[in-house]
Amino acid sequence: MRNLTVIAFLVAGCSCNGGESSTPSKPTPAAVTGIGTPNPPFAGEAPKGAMVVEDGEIGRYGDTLVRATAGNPKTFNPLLANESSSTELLNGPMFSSCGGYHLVKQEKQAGLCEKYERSKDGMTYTFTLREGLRWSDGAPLTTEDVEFTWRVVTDPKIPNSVKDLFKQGTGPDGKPLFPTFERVDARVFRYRLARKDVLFDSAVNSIYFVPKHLWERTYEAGQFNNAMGLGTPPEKIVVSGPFRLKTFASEERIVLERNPHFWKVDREGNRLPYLDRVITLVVPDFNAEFLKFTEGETDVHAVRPEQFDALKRREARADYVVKDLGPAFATYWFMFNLDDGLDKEGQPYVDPMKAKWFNTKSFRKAVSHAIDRDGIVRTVLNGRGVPLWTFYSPANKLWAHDGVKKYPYDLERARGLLKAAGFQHTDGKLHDPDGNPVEFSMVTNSENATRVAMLNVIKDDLGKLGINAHIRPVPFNDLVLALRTNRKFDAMLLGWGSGVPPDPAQSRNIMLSSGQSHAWHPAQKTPATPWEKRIDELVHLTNSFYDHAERKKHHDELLEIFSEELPQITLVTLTDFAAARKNVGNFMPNALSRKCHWNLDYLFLKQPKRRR
Amino acid sequence: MWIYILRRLLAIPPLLLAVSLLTFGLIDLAPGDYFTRLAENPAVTQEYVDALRETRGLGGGFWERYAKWVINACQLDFGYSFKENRPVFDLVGERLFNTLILSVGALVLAWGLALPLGVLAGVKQGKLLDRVAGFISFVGLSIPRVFFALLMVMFAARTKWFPVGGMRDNVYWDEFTMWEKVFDVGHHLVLPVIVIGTTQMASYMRQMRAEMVETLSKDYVRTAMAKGLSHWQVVYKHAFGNAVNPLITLFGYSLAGLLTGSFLVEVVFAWPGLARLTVDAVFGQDEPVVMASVVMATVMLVLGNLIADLLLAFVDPRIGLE
Repeated sequence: MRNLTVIAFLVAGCSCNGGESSTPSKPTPAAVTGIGTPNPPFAGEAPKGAMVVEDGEIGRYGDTLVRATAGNPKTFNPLLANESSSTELLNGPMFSSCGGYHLVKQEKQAGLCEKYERSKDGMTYTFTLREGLRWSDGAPLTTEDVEFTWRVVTDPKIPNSVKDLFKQGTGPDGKPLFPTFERVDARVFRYRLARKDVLFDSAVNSIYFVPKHLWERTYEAGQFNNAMGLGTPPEKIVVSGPFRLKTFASEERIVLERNPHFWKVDREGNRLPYLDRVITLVVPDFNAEFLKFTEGETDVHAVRPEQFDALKRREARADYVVKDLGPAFATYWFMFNLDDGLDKEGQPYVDPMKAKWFNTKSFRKAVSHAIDRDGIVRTVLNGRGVPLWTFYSPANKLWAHDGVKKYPYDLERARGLLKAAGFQHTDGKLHDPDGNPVEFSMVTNSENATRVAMLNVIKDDLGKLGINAHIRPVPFNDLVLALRTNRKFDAMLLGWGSGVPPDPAQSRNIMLSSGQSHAWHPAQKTPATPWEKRIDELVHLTNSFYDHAERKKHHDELLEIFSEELPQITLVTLTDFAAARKNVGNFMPNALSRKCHWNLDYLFLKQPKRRR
Repeated sequence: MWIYILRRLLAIPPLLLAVSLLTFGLIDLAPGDYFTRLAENPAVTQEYVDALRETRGLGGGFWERYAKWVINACQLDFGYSFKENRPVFDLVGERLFNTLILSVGALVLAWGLALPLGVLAGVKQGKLLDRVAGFISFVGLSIPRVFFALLMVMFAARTKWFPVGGMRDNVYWDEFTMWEKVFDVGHHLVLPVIVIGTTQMASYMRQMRAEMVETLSKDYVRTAMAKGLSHWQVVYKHAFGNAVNPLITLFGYSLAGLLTGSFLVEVVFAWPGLARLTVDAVFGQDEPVVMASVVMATVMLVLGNLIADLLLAFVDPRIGLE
């Protein structure tokens, strides 16, 4: 072990700023103190290696937290979940992984593993599970479960999005190559990589383990794709997170209750979670969700921009607080189709005349200067948003970069740029150097009123340059098909969310010219332009160092090129808000993921609830 | 009669085939499929989406998939929902009961009010009661159901006398006693049942009134009166039995709408019934669920009509079914 670098998940002694750290040596009594009686009670003693939560206040046991969400989860299987209505319930509240992420501080923290070690060459990772971990049914959680989960994840017959994080190229047999897994003992396991991957630890943290003792036979019978579905009896959904499933009533409610074997304690040694139960009401839409909160039925609420005014107005008299989370992570952007490919009939995706404009850099720059981002914020977002100049929202503490090129609203500059590129302004209309009037269509999905409203502003703005841009709202599926498959569009407005952690590795699929989400010109065999080639190189450079400063240096250059070449014209990001009853303790909403309930394990209710 | 029933039942399979083919074709024409939307997420690779498609049987061509569906459906296997990955049968079964509670409640209200009110209005023709009943029925006939439902939701939100939507109080449901549960569902039922019930009642009541007025002018009624029978004896013994005949057919038809009649109201009141399942499935292109819903609604319609015809033959000996 001489050539191993030991990395703790968090620097020790961080009590100054809170955070969670692992203290496997400190014994943690399970005794109930003067903070109420947990019901259902905890089972046995806290695990020897229990993780101590240093964050927040000491809470009190008891009561039910009520929240609402639009739409059923689609599965209770954490390996098969692929959209937020399932993952917001499974990843964290019900299932745990090797490591966690402090969504407010945007820092890694420990999880089921108390530590991991990376070899000097970066090719071997050794993880150690905490001592005394148990599943919610009392069975010990060991590396056998980790090994089983790994087998499932890498099984070609089980489609899951986790495995894509581990693919290390293709092997000699043409099949994807995965790191090799080795079980050292009941608590220690090891991965050997085929090639360096600086985000391997984050990838490992995205695997939410499933219990081998319950699902191995199902898996061997080839039925894992149907395991832990919505019809599974609740007692068979055995979990490692703070809460286990008690009742699921489709389109009505999901009742979670305390996992009696959960592996965290607060800093006074009280076992977590504080809450007895968490009820998630399933409602048809966002309006119903809002209504449930204003009527006092729910305790926490992820506020949407259009709901903010109504909530804020009543805040002074009401029993809730509205918290400003600053800019959201999700971004809105506008782009032109730069794809020079041909469709099945041999016709170009984009009319060659238009393709010429779109591929002219100063045309894109002129459009960016002509878009009044403040106007969008004012009219579409009710003033609750900020202009966006780069790929990342300013919410991204680690990766947002201020040194990028900015395109303030300036029609004169826009006209100048167009003129320099040979465009002419005659009879109030813009004509290209060949004399064709500049006219194109802009698509977005019709279901999203905010996006359509933004296009309306852009249409007006471009009209001032003499550009006739029409809006073509299409069904969402049409938009996604246009994005990846049939590529028939001129310009598009869309938004992108952020993964956890919000690392550039998550946007690889967008930035690489070979990426399927390289939206302006996806899946290129070789980079079509010199700057795309440079971006490819910078993506690889960013993802080949462990040191953040080194990574950031390359990534900043990437963002600078991105803002100079403008393959995507970033528009705005909205300001995020969250609300909760004053009765909710340790409420620390974040803008990244599971906004109001990411720290469900130590949320609590200050006063017992009275029945309505 | 048995031959008649058999003939009618034999007509169902070709009808189902036609309806299912049409539905299947329409879903196929819509852009993309259930899994297309996943590809918006940059973290989702095309290989993953394609693999999902493969495991859920979306791989083959149109006719291949349709043939597979028909063969499975013949064995009463409607497949797995794309969205929730569980048997469509379970999903539908779960919701069927909720929808039936609502539509049976509305049916009872509609008929329970329509018959006595219609009879009274017919008997007291031109009097105040007739006018009031007439007014109610015109309102019921002319107000669009969705609008009525929305009004009721507003009413509930303003007064707080009734819950705004849903079928039960999901926060406290697990702590309720048996009777509290019955009361709670009843409380949630009131408004949607009123909406569906009154709109249905209106037409039944007009029908009942018209039949009653006509029957009361018949010779045999005058004869019964002349015999010296009391007014109400004549109404109930002689007139009602004859006047109600055509309404029995209507009752049969209302059975046909038992599953689909409450469609929009279910959506507005967030009732966890078949309607929301179907609407969500249509928007999400959850093919197996849409297909099962359409097939079920068709079968109910055909059976309801059959029952109506049989009832008619049963109560009116002049009608033969041979």
